Amino acid sequence: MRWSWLIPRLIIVALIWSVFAFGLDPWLRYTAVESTQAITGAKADIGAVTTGLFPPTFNLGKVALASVSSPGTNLIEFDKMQFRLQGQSLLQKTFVVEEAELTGVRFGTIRNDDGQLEILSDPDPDPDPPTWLEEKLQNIGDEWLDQLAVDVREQLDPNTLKTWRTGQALSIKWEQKIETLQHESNSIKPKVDRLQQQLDAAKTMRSVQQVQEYLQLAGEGEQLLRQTNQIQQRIQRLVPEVQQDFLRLDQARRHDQEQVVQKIRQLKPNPSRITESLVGPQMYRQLNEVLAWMEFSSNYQKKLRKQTRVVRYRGEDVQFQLRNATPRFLCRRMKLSGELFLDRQLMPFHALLTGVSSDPVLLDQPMVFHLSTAGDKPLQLAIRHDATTDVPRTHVIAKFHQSQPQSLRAGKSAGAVLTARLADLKWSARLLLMGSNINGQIQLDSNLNRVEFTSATISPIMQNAITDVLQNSKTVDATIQITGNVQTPTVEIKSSLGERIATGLQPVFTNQAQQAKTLLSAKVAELAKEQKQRLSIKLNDRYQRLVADHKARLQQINGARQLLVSLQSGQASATTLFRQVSGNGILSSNKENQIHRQVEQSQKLLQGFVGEIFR
Amino acid sequence: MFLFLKPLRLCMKALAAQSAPGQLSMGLALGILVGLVPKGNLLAIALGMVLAASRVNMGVAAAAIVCCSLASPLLDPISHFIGSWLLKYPRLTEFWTWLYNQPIAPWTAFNNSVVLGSLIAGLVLMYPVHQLSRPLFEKYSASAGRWVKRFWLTRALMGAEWATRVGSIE
Repeated sequence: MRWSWLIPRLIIVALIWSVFAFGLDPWLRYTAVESTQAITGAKADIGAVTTGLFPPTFNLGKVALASVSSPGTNLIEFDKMQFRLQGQSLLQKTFVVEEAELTGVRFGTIRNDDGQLEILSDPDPDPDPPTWLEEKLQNIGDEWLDQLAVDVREQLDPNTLKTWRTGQALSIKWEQKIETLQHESNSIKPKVDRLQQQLDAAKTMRSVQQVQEYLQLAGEGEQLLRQTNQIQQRIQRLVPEVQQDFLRLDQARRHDQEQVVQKIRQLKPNPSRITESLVGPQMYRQLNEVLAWMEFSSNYQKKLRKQTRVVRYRGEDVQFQLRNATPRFLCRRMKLSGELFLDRQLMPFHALLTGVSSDPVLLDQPMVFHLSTAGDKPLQLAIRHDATTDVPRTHVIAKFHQSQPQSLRAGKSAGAVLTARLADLKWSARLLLMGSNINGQIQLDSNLNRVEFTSATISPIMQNAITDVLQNSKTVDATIQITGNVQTPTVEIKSSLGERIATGLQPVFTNQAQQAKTLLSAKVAELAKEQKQRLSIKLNDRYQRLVADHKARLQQINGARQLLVSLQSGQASATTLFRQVSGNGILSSNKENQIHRQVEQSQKLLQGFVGEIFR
Repeated sequence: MFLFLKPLRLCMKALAAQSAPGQLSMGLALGILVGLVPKGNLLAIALGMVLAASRVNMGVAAAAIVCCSLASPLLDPISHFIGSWLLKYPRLTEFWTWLYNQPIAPWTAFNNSVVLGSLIAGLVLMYPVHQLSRPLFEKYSASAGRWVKRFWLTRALMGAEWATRVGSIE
């Protein structure tokens, strides 16, 4: 026997066998770990791997795939995975899993480490929460609650009344006007006084000088008289103008009273804000989760194709036509069973996944996922991802009955706070993702109970009234409509809850506002009356003083005016002049007697002369 | 101790055996062939098995494999050209399609241009390498063998000492 030839070859064969026997499983385990880590981007812990060659079967035990987005938790964990490969396809270098089974599946379990890889392969292009969710949650405002108190007060605030504003404006206007007239009138007074002084001084002058002075003073007096008349005319025009302004004030009062009625009719909280405030956060978050699952299922294919792509060889792979072409990777049927943490409890579930492949176009079948939980209120989920067309489509239909109640809270402690509880929630979702566009809706039907409303600023009577209205809404039905791009979708929430609450609150406001309206109408009338009285008193008093001052001025300068008129007409004789002057008190009494004697002497002389002529 | 040393000695002997010039040159040629073909496919494994099963000098073959594996990436452009031309040649398309549909054939990665090109290049080089290297081995193998045997390790592995002792006991 040629042992020296045989033994080495037997050793080699033994080595090859031992590689398959003892090395294949570890190598496959290593490959599985690396591939899975490349897909998920986080650590993959795989326990034992056992294989069988005839037929080709794989058994994986204790698999835990860490989550990239949640360090310290597992994306999925299962106790055992068993699948059988189709032999014929394996010979063609395609991996076709006829049937696979995962048991003991759990999601979101806790890890001992953070589960993150030291070197990340491809960074997640969008690891942050979607902005639409952030925007929606930021825009959810509870101002409608505080507005319950502010609305009534604000609408009925006297400072907003036109009556008040008009009265204020009129007061300022008339103050200024009277002030101006008074100032002008006062400015004439020194001139009149000076005229009087000059007249007094003229009395001591000689006759001819007196007359000259009087003529001059008459001219000045005429001018002053014109100025005074102008002022007088303006004063006379004050009264009708004041009457007009009082009419304006009345109009403002009527306007305000009408507006109060209008505003009371419009007092109604915004129904959409109520809906968004109460059920918005739950619904938006639920939608966000569904969208995340949809995006994951539509992206699985890219990652799967990336993993099944052969990258080792250099050069170019030339593809030839296969008689029975199948995708490089295909899982015809996979059964999953395990537990889901849902509704704050672990629920057993069963799921079936079919048509998972790296090339759906070649397979010409969509991927379908059905999941249902056990219990009397199960979750039913169906996802159909069809990538056989140019634009992949993902349909999601889900129904879920949540028995655990959800607490609602709206408002801030400093203002108004509304708390309630949603019980017996029924969710249903129907969504379609086409490429990057999404369309669909999520609906919620629920009971509403334990409604409580408290406020530090609203009166207890009104609080009770509002609470009664809120408690009358025993059910909640809300729908979220989502359209547009999946990254920046248009999300609209609709519900009859908001409308019911708003409609129910309106009579409460109206009732409160009616009381306030009566008060306000009286207040408006009183305000108008007060404004008028204040104006009247102020104007009247000053008006009378103005008129009196003016009258005195007029009287003072009338004498000089009369003198001027006589001198201008040429009708003034010495006697007439003397009479006018003495009658006006312009001359002193001595001067008057002196002139009187001279006039008499002149007259006697004239009479004698005339007699002599005619003897 | 004998259980460990004996197989090792036999392996070393196998490496050092088949030391006829023809076997040495054939080992070199086969080693170049295996070394040129990219690893990680069934073709490389098959060629390795063929090499292991043949009566050629394993030492020379192993050395050739190592050297050519390191140098093969430098020859990729030539291999790619040859392989791509062959794979896309119209008259061979039917043959390649038939071959591709055969079981296990896809595992050989013959449809890769570098793999096929390297295989073809290695096969083509086999005869010239064998013919050209044989006279060199004839001339230098004896002196090389004497040089190797100077080392204690070689002698120990070859079991000369123990064989002499066992022989002397018998």
